[in-house]
Amino acid sequence: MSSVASPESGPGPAPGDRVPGAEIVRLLTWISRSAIWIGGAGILFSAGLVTVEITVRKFFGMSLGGADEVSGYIFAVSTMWALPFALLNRANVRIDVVYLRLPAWLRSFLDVFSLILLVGFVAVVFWHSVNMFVENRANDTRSITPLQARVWIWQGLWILGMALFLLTGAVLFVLAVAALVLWRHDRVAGLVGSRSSEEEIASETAFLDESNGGARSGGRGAV
Amino acid sequence: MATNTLVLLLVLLAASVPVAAAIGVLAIVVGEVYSPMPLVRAIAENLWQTGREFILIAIPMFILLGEILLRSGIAQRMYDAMAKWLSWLPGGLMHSNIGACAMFSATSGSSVATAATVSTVALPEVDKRGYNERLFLGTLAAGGTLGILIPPSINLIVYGLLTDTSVPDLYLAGFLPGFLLASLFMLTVMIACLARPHWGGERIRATWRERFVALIDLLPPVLLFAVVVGSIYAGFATPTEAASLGVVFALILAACHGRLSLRMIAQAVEGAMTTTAMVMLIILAAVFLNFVLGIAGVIQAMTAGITALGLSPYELLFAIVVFLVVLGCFMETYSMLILTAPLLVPIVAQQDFGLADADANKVWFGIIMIILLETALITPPVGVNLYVVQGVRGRGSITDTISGSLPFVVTMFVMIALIVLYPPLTLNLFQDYAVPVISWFFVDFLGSIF
Repeated sequence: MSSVASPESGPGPAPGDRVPGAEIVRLLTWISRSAIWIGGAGILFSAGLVTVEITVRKFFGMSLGGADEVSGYIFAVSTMWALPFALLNRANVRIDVVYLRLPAWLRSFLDVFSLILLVGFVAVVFWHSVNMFVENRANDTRSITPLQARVWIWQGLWILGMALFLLTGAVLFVLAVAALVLWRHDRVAGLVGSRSSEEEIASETAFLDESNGGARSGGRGAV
Repeated sequence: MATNTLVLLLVLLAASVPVAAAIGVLAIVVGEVYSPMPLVRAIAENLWQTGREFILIAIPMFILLGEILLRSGIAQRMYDAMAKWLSWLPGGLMHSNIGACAMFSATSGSSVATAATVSTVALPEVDKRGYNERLFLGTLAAGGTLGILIPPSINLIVYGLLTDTSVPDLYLAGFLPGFLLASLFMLTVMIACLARPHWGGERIRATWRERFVALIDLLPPVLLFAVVVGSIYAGFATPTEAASLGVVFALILAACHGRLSLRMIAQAVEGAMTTTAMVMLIILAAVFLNFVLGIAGVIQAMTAGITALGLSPYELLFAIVVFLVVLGCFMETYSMLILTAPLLVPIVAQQDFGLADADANKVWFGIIMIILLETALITPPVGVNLYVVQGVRGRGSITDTISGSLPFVVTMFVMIALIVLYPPLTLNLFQDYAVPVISWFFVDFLGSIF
């Protein structure tokens, strides 16, 4: 159940308030949640792989070879694939000492400004990564390890995560600017605002409420 | 140059720009303005390199491990068991709060999760047993901070990566101070409750039989700790390998408690990966910033500026401690660590504190820095644990939580003073006496069984 209308689980309107773009945000949430699960499954797979590797190494004195290299690729890709979901959940770490003392309209402007810088930074990385990918693809670059992995395949998956992040960021940007034009600061905050401490705690303790139907998302688990 | 860089960073951070974006944009701007080469062209290679770093895989693993433990109900049982063992002391359940926090952090490496979990179990007892609420809240907020000091700590991994320090060495160094700090917290409670006996509330009476039965609930976390940290100490596994073992072990534990389900794993994964993504984005940006600052000569300029002040090593250390305490009032801990460690540690490493070498300096200062980050978690206005505990409490004013935590900030300062005056606490003591025993157990004893 990935309802975007639930205030704890991410951006979205208050119940009963029909907001333009809610459908597309819901779709993006669904896609990014799938991406984070696939990435997480990859991390669990790595955990298993590395465990087997240690066991084999210690008790049979041999090595699978390449468990660390493969885990590294999976890790890089899964981190990028988790970013869009984090963006939708407004999980970015922001220093809000000043922010919290500002009027709502100024906060809205800072929210949009923050989004531009965040997406802009990733866009720069994306641009240069695509160049790197194209070059490695053309040369069919292999890693200089016994595994001889085709580096560009992993880089391609890595870049795919960034692309989804940029798409999500662009949609949020359009919706946030639209809300800003309408002077609806509650909507801007719901889409791209800094998370309040109440929201933070709600997500930190969501697991304690076992009867909750799993609608709540994880949020920043550890600091 | 150094001043401009710093001002730009502070403006971006104060404007509430996400820390990762602030660092990344700063790196690109500094690279364009101050470097003769177009450094931004290296950004993809640089991030791809850092993003695959094997030691960093321990981050999602340890977070995942904590999330799985939280959802398997082990923490609640652990708290009850701790209560049976510790609550006869003056201060009653407040000792269980600290004990449960210490034990939980020894398996998960997460401060917020620790504080949130233990608070939820413990807070209903305040009224029931007539505790001084402020001090009780303080034990929870402060106890939760132990998560970043007691191995396996994620912050120590980040410190190790950014300052080129061995993570196993840092884990060795953090063990004794971690448990000593927990003991000092308990001592603080005891002193307070001996001075004001009515703060202590009603104590729980448990028979020895009940206590020994409760030990079964402490067994899973102790075993997990032995597997994860023991294997690192014995040189049996790297931190990432140990963390992977821990995840597999935690899944087995959850299955034994009948809590393993696809939904539970999905929730744990969502939480762990969201955190990982945000932390990693900051780390990726910061490593690139360090690369740019190094080439553009900003770090050298800063180091030269500080050296020119002509401070003695201990004056310098004092200045750094004050700086970090003040910074900790306003900044979230990960960002603070990632931003300051690469700048401060090279300077500290070169000073003469009478330790063996620069590497010893880095390990010793690392532990001091982590304890300073712990104070940052409970100093207002930005103290994450204060808000977590207050949020779980859900009534009254945050001022209660803040004033209850203050005594423990003082305790942390005492701990820092101890480490500064007696460096073997972090360097030799544990290595010389405990590690041989652990290696014997893992290598000889287990080796002879298999």
